[in-house]
Amino acid sequence: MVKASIFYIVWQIIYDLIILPDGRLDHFLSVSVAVLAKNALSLFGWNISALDRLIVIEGYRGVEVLNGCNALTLMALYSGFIISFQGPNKKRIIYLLGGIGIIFILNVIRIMAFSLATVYFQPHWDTFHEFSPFIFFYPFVLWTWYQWTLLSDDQYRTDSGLSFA
Amino acid sequence: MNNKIYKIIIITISMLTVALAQDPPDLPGAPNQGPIPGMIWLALSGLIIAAKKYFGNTEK
Repeated sequence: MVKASIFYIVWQIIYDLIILPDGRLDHFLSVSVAVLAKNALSLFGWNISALDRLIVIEGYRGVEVLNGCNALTLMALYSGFIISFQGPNKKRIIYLLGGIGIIFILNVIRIMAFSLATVYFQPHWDTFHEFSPFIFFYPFVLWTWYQWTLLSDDQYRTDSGLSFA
Repeated sequence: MNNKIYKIIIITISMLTVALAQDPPDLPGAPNQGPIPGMIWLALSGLIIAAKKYFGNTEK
C-alpha cells in the first residue's frame, strides 16, 4: 500500500512536471492510436481519413483522441499495481510490458468503436464514451491484476515452504 | 420606382442593424482533457483485490 502510494505520487509529479509540459509522449500515443484505428477501419472498407489526432468517417462526425483518451493514465494505474504487489520479477516485466501493450491495442479498438458509433448511434455517443472503459479496459485490467495476485500467492507459498524447510 | 428602391435600402439597413446587434455565438471551449471515466472505480477495485489477497495471506 505504501509502495503503491509512493509510486502514484512519483508518477503524478513526473507526469505534471516533465511528461505533460513536454507533450511528446501524450502526442505520440494519441496520434498512433488515431492512425492505427484509421488504418484498421480502412482495412474493413470504411472511407475514413485521419488528421493528427482526429479521425473522420466520410460524412459523419469526427473523433478526436485527446490526452485524457490516450490511456496513459490507465497504463500508469495498471503498472502501479503490478509494481507494488509482490511477485516474481521476471513475470513482473512480462505482465508490465504485455499489459501496457494490450491496453494500447484495446484503446485502438475503443477508438474504432467510437468512430463507428458516430455512424450507428450518434445520439448515444456520449453515453457510449462514458461507459466504454467498463467494456474495453476494466475487465481486462481487473482480470490481469487478479492473475498477478494469484502468481504472487504462489510465490508466497513457495517462500513460506522454503522458510519452514 | 425610386420610392421602391429607397424602401428596399431602408429595410435592408434596418434589418442589417438588427442582425449586427446580435451577440456572436460562443466559441467552443477547450475540450475536456480529463482522464478515462470511472477510473476511480478501477482503483478501488484494485485496492479491494490487493487487500483481500494481503489479509488472506496474513491469516494463513
